Amino acid sequence: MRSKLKWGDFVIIGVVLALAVAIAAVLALSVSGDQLYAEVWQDNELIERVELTESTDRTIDLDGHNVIVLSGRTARMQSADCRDQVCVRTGTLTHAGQVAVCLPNRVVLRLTGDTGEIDAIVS
Amino acid sequence: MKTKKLTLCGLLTALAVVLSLVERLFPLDAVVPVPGVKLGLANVVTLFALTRVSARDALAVVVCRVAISSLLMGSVTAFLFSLFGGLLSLIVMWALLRAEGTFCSLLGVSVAGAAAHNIGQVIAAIIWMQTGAVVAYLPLLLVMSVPLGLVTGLTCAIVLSHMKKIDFNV
Repeated sequence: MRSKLKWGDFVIIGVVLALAVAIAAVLALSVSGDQLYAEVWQDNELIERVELTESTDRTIDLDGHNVIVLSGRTARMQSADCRDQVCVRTGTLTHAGQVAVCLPNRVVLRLTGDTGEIDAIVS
Repeated sequence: MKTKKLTLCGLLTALAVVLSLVERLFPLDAVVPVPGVKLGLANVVTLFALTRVSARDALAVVVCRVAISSLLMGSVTAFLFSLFGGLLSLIVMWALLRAEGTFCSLLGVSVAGAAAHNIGQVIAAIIWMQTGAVVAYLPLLLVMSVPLGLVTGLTCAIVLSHMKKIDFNV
């Protein structure tokens, strides 16, 4: 049986998990501040930047392709006209650094804090 | 001999396409709350082709599988992402298979392949979206690639041991 675990298997699993933790840590450390902003990007252009407060209640409709609901200090992709629905299944975003991405429509919904510059860290 | 190999590659491609289709009928991310997560059954075929045929043929099988399944059910974007993921996964598994038996088992190879598939897809997504924001999906996908890679690796190992038992050589 070629499935008998060897020490290298644990090294591989360890590396994969360490990579996951490292990326998550970098993303978590890159956001700070008490303010929470929801950013809507389409084709890498900033469409909207809204500060989220307890009283926020807004719906952003991107020509019917994507509908984004901002409610209180949360944001979610309510609907999308694409097939994979990954962005809708991402659910409700509540913390800075979280994103919901609609690949087919090239739409990004993301929450940022005061200095939430994920791009700067990635590139 | 050449015809036999060609037939085998055709069969493997067909199998991989069917597995991708079947997988789509049961979206794993409806059960596991990780958006975009997939079982990666087609990876079993890639791993099998790498171990039993050759790297060149495995490459052909991956490219054909991605092209056909994208034509059947995907879009241009799906094609791009699957191709990036499939190719990176193929390269990583091919490299690790050389150390299989001494350094690691098929399971480790499969886990690395699953992780590489996710990384490849996210790289394609970064190129497509022109923003690094997509990286936020990667940590959870990487964590999931450990159990899912183990499952696909085990599947491949079981198939190989059965074939050995019935003394079937390709």
